[in-house]
Amino acid sequence: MEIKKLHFHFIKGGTEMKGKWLTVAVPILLCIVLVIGWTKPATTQPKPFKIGYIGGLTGFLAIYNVPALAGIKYAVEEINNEGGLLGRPVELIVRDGKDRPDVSLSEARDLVHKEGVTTLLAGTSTAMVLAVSAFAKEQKVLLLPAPTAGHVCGKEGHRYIFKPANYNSDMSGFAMGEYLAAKPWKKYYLIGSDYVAGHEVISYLWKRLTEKKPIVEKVGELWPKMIERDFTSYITAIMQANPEAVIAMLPGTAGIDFIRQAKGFGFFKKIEYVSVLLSTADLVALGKETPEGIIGGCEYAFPYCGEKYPIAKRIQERYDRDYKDHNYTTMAVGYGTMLFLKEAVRKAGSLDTEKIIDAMEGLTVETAVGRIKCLEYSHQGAVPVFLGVTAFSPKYPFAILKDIKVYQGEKIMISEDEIRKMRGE
Amino acid sequence: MLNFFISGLIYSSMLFVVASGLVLTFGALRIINLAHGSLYMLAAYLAYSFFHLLPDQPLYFFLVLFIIFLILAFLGGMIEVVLLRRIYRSEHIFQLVLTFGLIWVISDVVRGGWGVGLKALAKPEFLGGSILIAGYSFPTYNFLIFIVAIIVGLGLWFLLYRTNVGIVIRAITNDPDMANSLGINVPMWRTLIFALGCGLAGLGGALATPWASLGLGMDWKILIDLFIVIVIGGMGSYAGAIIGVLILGQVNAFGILVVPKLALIFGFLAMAIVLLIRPWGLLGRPE
Repeated sequence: MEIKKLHFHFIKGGTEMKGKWLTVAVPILLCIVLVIGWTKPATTQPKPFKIGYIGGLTGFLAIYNVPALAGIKYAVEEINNEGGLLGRPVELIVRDGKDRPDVSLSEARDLVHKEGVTTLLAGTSTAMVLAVSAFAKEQKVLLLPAPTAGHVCGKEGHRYIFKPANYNSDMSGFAMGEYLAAKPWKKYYLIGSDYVAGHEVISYLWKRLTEKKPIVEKVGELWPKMIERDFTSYITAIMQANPEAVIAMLPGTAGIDFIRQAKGFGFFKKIEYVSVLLSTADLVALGKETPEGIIGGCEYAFPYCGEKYPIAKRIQERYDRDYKDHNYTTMAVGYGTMLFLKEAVRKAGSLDTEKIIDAMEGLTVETAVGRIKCLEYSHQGAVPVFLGVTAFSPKYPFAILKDIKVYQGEKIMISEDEIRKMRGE
Repeated sequence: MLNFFISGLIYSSMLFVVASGLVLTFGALRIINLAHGSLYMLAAYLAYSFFHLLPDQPLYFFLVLFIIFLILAFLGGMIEVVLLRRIYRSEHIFQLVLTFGLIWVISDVVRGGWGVGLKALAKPEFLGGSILIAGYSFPTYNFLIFIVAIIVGLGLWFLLYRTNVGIVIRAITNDPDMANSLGINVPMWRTLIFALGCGLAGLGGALATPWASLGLGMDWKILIDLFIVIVIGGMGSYAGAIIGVLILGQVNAFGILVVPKLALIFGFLAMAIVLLIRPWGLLGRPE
């Protein structure tokens, strides 16, 4: 078709001979160019190893994922400075999942099919991670959630998903249950945000607490919706029930709002307060309004982790240079997850997904929160839980957690048998 | 029981300030401004910055409230003139899509300007204590919110029903074509009404800053409650907004006393019941 057209044009304007010459020359020239391009010697630059990241980077999820992504990027930079993964530079491709499982899934497809990615990182929400997890299993692509609250290596776990550096509801719940069993309080009021992790944590906590100290009594429970701003009715109801202590699983603004509003009612003078999820970022936001002497649990204690673990000190200082919000928790999760990938590749001596997976099972890595072992069957890391008490320190403009107790290991995790049962094996 | 009633009242008050703004903008545009919650969020973050800059004294506190009101009113006016005016002739759905798009723009502006971290601001010193009512202790700041809501409510009533300006606003809201043929400069008044509505969203946001913490999801949180209020009360009705906020506030307050496990759905349940009995809201008009 093309040749006919060329012919036609040239017949109109010039001589037939000129047209014929061009229609022969052009394809020949093209062939020469192609052959040269094909046999060109390979560049001295090794092909980059692409890793895809999908997480909610806008809206209310941003506070968890943006610091995690920062941690991941620090690790990628360090890996590349040391020569990359087995000599290949790591290229991180970042996509915004927008808190929509369908968008996350289409980004995952694009990353795997168009960009040729064989390793994916995924940030909260759990719904997004589960959507990508199903895809990863089908495509035999490695998926490392960082962070996600849900127990993605539990019932929905499979060979291709690992959660080595981020804890779960069973761990934070069991750990707090153990901790409270040593306390003298008997009458508890439970309050948790009405979402899956909220219910799971409280139920694991209560299970372990009642096992170790059967005389404890639940005088009430409340489940405010996730988007609740006004806790005055809840505070009033709790104070009316007169418990000795309140156990609260209120993430983010919910926990902060509850504490600030409760203070106005003289809450903390009368009732002990236990916050299962009290991160450094929460303490920073509360500032001088933090009640002293309340119990808090977290995945990264400040300044404890920075003082005890050299990796923590290093990445904390790095993060403080880039950001002012002290959001160390998820940053450490992102960084730790990449450490696991790095170590697994090193142990496997290969970038083949199946070999990396085999290497990661049972792998122990030194991270910002100490040594973590990634369990063989579930692929869940035995991440430590830090529990402490709030106190003000002259060194910082916000409260810190002191008298830290660390809980770690299979004692605070759902057993392998239970997970096998959940997965129907 | 009284303490639950009063608790419900405080949130109702804050919500009313913002919701009355939404009713105003609905009167001007004939559509719901979906970005109303986002303007509230922007105002809250701006107030946070202003409060940090200025010393903690009563004068500065009220000054910030006033400044934020003006800033948001100005911003609202700009949005109306530059964006919304151009599409008045289009289908309603396109106008809604535009306001929906603004939600994302404003959300990104807030994220870009203030980052993703949670922020909280301590209540101003002079309002930091508590008040005893019938043996129960309530934070003083909550009563400021209540008083501001009363002032806004009375002020709006006075403006709308006792001034010439109010007559014009009501005329444009009820029948813009007739108002136009009577020689009223409808486009200009539309801008002013919309600006006033946005200013009220701003006032609500600034008021809420010391009371509840700031996070990037707060635009959606309040938007949902605003919708419930408007649906219950009826679109375009101020008295309906009052009833809507009171119902929502009390249903949430007493609901957790009665059936705590269903806290998530109380507001939606109330909305669903109203929709079944009177689909145009308790004080709305069927259109």
